[in-house]
Amino acid sequence: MTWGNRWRLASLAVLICYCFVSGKVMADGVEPPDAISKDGTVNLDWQSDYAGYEQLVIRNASGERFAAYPVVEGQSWSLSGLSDGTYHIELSGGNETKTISTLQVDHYSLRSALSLFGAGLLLFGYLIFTLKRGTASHD
Amino acid sequence: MTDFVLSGNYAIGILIAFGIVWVAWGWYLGRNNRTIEDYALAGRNVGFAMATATAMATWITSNTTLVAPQLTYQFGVWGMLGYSMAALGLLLFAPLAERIKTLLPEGFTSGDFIYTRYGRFAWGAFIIISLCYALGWLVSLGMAGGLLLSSLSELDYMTGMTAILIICVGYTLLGGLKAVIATDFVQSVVIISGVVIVAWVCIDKVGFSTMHTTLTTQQPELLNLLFPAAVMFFFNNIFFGIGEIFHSNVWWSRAFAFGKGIGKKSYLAAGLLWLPIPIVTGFIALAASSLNLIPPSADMVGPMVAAKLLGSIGAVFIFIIVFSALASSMDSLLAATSDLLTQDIYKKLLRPNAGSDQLLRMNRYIVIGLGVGTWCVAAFKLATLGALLNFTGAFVASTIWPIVYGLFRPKLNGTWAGIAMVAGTSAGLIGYFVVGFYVAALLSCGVSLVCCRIGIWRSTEEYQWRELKEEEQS
Repeated sequence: MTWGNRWRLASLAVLICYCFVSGKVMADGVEPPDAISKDGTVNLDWQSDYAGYEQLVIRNASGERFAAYPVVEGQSWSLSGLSDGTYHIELSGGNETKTISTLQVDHYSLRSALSLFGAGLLLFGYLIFTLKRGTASHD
Repeated sequence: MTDFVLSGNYAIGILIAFGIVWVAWGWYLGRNNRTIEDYALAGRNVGFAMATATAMATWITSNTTLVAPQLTYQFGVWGMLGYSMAALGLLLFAPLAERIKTLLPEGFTSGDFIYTRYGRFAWGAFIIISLCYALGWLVSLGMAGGLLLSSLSELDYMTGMTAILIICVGYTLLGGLKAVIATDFVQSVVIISGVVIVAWVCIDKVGFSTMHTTLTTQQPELLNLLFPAAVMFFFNNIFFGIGEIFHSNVWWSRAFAFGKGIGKKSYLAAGLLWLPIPIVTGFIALAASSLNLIPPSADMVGPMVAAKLLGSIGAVFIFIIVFSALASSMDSLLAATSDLLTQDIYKKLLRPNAGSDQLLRMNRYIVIGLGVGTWCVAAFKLATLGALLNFTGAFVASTIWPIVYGLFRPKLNGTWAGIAMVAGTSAGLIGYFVVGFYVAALLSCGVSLVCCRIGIWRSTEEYQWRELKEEEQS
């Protein structure tokens, strides 16, 4: 097989994969999130077309209203403390609603967090031991 | 902006009043400074009360008044507790302070020790780390001044940042370490009274029950004791705090300045007194959602909640508390970093035969230079306070083991101490960018320990402690 044919075949394979993946997403009616958070926090920047809305509303995946805050013109938002899940962040005012972001929260695994915690604890214990032994030997 | 903002004229009035009082007092305290020892180390005879107050007030900074609420807002209960564990830095430095004073009774800076104990390679790595940290902290303090003003008044970020720099540079320049210690004493009284009043009002007006209900519904992870990012953050913050204190000349210069036998007791007392303060300041961030507040950036949550709770009078009150906290740290950092640059760069590398007058003059130029440099970097406002501070965690945590082994174990040599600092910092920075700021210090400290242990295991020689004193006398 020539290099030209190999490239064509590779391009075709990529195209088939893309169609399969995008087709599946469209078929399920699920749009990819605008942002993914590993620690439950997200920052949303203010944009000029947000003026005129009155509330920032956060809805969970099932569309249930979960929190709402007043909009202060020109002021961005820093959200925190969200659990695993998908959140739709909307602006509302009068009869109008505008979705400004879809956020996917997927926290770090607890196993890796506890491993790091354990490593920190060991390191800290060893530091105390070293200081105690050093102080005792030079008193 | 909060609902209760001070008018621009009112805010400017407070700044001018503060500036005049602190700068005039700095001049009064520093009027008898004749030598570099008077200016940089307050005559090496600071007593217990002043020593404890300055250690505690210096550690109460933007860290405790702005970043503790920020981390509580991001990491909940773990953020608050993790931050208070930074007190361990002060507590564990207590035995080191005594050892430092014994080994180097005439010492000037932390760099002096590293140079004499480990030689040029390790000293070079240490100075780069120290300066990165000092500049990072100075910039974060300047930024905090700007953020404070822009969230509590009609003045903008640049005005607040410029004002705090001019005031602190002014009184540090005129009074040296004596002015820094005396102003810290008064500032610590203002800060402690203030945070206790704010927390009291928060409990009284919002209440535990309302806070708990709102958090459970709107920010459930903040009450989760198995919140993964927060669990990762806990020991990272401990090592960050320990690294900050163990390496920084802010704390070494105090160990040299305190009278004989004072250092250990003062650092222990300061650590115990400091421990509950981040819990009090961090706690108010948990009331944000109950008050229907959502900050534009996490580091503004503290002042916003306080201003909402206390109204327009409260905005003035918070303004004074946070300004005192920032000033008490910035002045110490300006003084300690200028000492480090004067003794370790100017005297060691450029003018080994410089006399006391020349060093004193250079120290003052450096204070001004640091103020100008900080202003230039802080003007860009590149990151949030927490992110900026934790970035420096990758640097400082790598120095913990070289300092501890340098003071207590004679087998670690300069090559391995230098490798430990370089490798630890590199690992911390990789962790910072690949995982997040909550692992940087932990990785840095762990890798540095491995390098130090290899160095000790391979070493065939032992350092003679008397060489430190001989070098100092020569």
